[in-house]
Amino acid sequence: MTPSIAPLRNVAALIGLVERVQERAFGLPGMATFYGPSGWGKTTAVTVAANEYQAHVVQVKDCWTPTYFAQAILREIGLPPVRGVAAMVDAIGAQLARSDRPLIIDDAQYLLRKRMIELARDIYESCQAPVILVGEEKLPQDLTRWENIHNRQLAWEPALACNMSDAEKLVPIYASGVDVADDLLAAIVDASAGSIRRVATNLASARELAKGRGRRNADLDLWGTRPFTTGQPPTVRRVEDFRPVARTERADTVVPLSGDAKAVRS
Amino acid sequence: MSELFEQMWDEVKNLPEFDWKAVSDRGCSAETAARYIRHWLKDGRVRVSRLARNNKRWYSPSHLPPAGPQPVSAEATPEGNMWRAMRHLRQFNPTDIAAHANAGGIEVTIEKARAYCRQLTASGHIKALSKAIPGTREAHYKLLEDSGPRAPRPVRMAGILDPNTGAFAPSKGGAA
Repeated sequence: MTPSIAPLRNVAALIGLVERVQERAFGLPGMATFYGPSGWGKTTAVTVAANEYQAHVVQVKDCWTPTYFAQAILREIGLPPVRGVAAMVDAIGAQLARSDRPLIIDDAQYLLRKRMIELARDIYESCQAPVILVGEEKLPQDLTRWENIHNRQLAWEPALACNMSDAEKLVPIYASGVDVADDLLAAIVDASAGSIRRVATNLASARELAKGRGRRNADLDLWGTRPFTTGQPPTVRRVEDFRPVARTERADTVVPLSGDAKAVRS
Repeated sequence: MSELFEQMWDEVKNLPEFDWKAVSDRGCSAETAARYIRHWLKDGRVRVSRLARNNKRWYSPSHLPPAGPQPVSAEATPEGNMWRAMRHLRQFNPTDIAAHANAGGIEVTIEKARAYCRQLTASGHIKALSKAIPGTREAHYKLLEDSGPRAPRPVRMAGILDPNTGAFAPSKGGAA
């Protein structure tokens, strides 16, 4: 079996975006932005798009400096280290211009600190190869602070939440050999809050459950009250729930009866 | 310049890469070697090919193609796609890898992804977090060592293994 997640809406959107930038008309800008909330499958889409176009990908970290950012791209391209950020940008630009392979910068919201976004623009200006920024929902708004970068964006593509149609495409991959009923699939999509990875994890759990019971189908009855993987933190526990209940008198206290009382009772 | 200058150039001009020590070893002092290299750089006969970790400079003749690591190949391979998926996902099972690697005209089956995961587990690049339950659940792996953009790939080496000492001497040419 050769499973593929390329038909998912998010993946198709990013692949389409890279293709548009790569085949843009002469004179049009060659940067683009793919944005969306955390957990909506942007990195998944980046992985497939990078495999589709043999793109260079760097995932920026919060602690990176401009020098480290340039070194990371140099490493990713496979060039020997050179000294100085300016020399590194020149080497990266020359190689990207030669190969015309796209450069995808994941978690690009971290570029906005420490002036690293200017470095991304310098690289684009040196090579004119496609540079795709992938980041969180606010990235397009935040980029408006840099007019010279905002102007170089060919397109802004929003990431899409995983819906029933995406989930149906994931069933043969992550729940192969098991028929997942619509009610269970809808419950999984609701609980996963748009995350492709959580839908895949819940589908794999449903498959494991069905296989463990020797069944070829899984529905909401089979799932029962088991919790879905939702990514939500556990609910806050209240201290009062764990305190012993204060009682005024002990119900099991035995009061010896006096002789008179015994006489009355008998 | 002296005869020695041209003699040294004749000796190093066909080397893929050299440093001042290699020039000096061919019959001049260290100071002379450094001076000659400065002249060759100024003339454009040589270029700095790389900087070592200790900032030592290595040179290569300008008329030869650049030495050292070359840019990552743009050729799509199953191992290349699977390795890229592993580097981005960090935690995965073979189904994840196959699903992410089937792109760019490359076909990766789950069986091929399983085999690659087993090979990289043996080499210490990844480790198994949970074992597979046949027919029910896939094994889960975690990336331990992201060694770079070039995909590790299995090779078969030809050579001589001495079972007495455990020493392995690859035969000329390397791969079988």
